[in-house]
Amino acid sequence: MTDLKRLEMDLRGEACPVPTVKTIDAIKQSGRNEAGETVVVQLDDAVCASDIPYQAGTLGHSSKTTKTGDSEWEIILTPNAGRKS
Amino acid sequence: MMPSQYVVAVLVLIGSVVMAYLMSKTDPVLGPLWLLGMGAGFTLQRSRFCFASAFRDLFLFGSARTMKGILVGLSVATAGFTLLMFSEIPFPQFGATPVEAHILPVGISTVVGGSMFGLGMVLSGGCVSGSLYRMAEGYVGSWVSIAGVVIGLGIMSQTWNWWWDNVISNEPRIWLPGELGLGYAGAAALTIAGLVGAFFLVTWWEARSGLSMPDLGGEDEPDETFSEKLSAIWKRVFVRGWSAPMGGAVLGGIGVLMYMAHMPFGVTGELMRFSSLGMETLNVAPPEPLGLSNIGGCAGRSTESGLFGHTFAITVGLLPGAFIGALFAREFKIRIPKSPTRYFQALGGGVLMGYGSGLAIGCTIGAFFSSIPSLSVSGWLFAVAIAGGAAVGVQVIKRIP
Repeated sequence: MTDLKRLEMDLRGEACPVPTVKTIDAIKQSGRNEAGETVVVQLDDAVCASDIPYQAGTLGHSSKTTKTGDSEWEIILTPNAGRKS
Repeated sequence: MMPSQYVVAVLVLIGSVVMAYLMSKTDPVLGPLWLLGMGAGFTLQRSRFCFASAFRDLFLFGSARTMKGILVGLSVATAGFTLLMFSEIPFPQFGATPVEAHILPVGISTVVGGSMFGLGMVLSGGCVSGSLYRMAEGYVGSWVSIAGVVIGLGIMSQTWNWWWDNVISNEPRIWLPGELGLGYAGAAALTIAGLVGAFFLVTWWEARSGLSMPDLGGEDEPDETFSEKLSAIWKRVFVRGWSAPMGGAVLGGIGVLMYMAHMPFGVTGELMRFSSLGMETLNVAPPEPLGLSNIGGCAGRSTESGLFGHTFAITVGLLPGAFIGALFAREFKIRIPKSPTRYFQALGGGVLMGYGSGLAIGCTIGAFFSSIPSLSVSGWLFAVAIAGGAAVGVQVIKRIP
């Protein structure tokens, strides 16, 4: 576990599709940086919370969603093993 | 964690049912229409049935998930509407058209109105019905969008007569059962074939984009004892979101019931009425609209008098329905956008949607979801125009930080 970078984004208050778009951008951005960057998103839009895992999957990231409150989620997106930038 | 949301939900439910009862006393149809409006709001919220995302996500993410749900809903409604129209006009070839069906003008007004609407809904983040149910979920941006829609409808009604004189009065209203000897069977078959074709088209589009939607595996509820079974059903209906095809099918069914009770589903007529009342208060009442009373659709309704009209019931009824859905799922939350840009987007997009839906005499509900099942050509052209506007809108929002 050597200095894995985490990019954190607080997207609460933003409505669909903004959180999904910003998350996809962040993942694509992280791919251009060093491999192994984790993206952590906080959001309160239910539609995006269910969409992001699929979009991230298409980009080779796996996701873990945690419900952090009523209509609030944190999604941690990590590149799948074997994916080289 | 917060059962107070449940308490509010039950109170709103009781209040709304009492409201339905009181409204039925002035007009027996009002109560059922109000309950159907609530049902529609609940369905929209539960399945996140968002017409804006259906069109937008095709271009933004290459996803056709919501669009497929809409196609299911249109098929259900087409079957129901066809039967209802048949019982009203058994012989369609003699030029008569069903009074309440949404058979709207086909031409430049449809294309301009649809393109403006498609662009506006992508900018603002939701169409008219989508913004209405999201108002009830606590999205502050959607309140601004609906304000924009009311303003846009106001600008439209000030300019309607120009459009009527120069454009709309020359546009045909094409009702498929009366054309080319199609009859109901031919018209319904053609419509269903079109919907199936659209289904293949969007599925091909989705495959081309490389997006896959594997089953990520939801939590499985225990489902053995009586109480576990009840609890599983409760969660499926009230807590977890519905699938888009489920939402579409239910909404299509509700549309048929509304048509049976009086008229197909539509929401812009009531907002147009708000807009006109507002302008009268400000002493800038729009001129008497030409031609509208013969067209029907959404705007034709805006002349209804009294607060509790039929359009009030199905439009305002959406709000408690969606509110109850959000509360039971614990999805109600006041969401305040932090970036000032979002408010401009919501307002500007709303104005575009208002103007566009005024021009096309309906929004994604009235001029599309209720128009294609009316076996009207206008719904198809409106949909294509919306898709064009949405494609432009996607390029715009990609450039907004």
